[in-house]
Amino acid sequence: MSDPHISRFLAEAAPPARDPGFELAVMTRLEMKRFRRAMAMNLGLAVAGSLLLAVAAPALNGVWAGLSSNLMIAALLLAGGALLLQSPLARDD
Amino acid sequence: MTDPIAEPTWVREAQAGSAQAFSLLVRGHQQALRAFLRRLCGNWAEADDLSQESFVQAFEMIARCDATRPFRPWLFGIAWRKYREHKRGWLRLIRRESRYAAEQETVLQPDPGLGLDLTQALDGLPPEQRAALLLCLGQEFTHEEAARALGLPLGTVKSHVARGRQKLAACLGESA
Repeated sequence: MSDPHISRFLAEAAPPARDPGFELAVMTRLEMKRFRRAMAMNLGLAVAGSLLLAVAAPALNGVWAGLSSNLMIAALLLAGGALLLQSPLARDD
Repeated sequence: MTDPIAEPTWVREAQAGSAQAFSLLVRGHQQALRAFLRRLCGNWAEADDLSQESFVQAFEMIARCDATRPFRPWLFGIAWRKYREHKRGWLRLIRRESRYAAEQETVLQPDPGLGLDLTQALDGLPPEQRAALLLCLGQEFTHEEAARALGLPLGTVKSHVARGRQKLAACLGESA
């Protein structure tokens, strides 16, 4: 059997040298895979973040409570200061 | 056909994440890869699907490709492994084993009356032998390139090609 003989036979199975449909299908598959991977990563991050928040919720509640009372005191002081600045006692004229 | 001068540049650009450069590699190699898998699988639609999967995996693994060496054996190596994974399903394995056993019992006799039946003769070869033959005779791979693609020792590839040719010749009733 001659090699050109088998080469000719094998060439019969060859698709065209340029096949935009195939190239497009490959690139689409590639992008779909990238997209799915990015989505999976985002979903994983979201789930991990949610779990972290759920675990840390009791501690965070304490922090928020302390922070809110401190903020309230600060707000009252600022309001008092503003009132003092507006009062007749604070005016020179 | 691919451009052997520009190809290392395309590989490097694809390694940097360029899908456009990779699309040029797809364009350059799709014909040969599909022809190889079509003859290997026998089913053209299945082969084209495997070709697409091979290209996708090649892009994902492109960082491991040595841009200083020819891209083709590396790509065909991925395709060969894809093909083997594909055929490894247990149902397929049972089917293949039973077919192989049936073939072993059948003595192949040259029958010129059957005419040219290279497809059948090729399908009768063990997969590694068929792959080596397809790469070296069909795609003009050197034995070294085929050995790299199939992950086999050089001597094994040479012997696969020689035996494969002999078997095909015997099936067709021709002298090697």
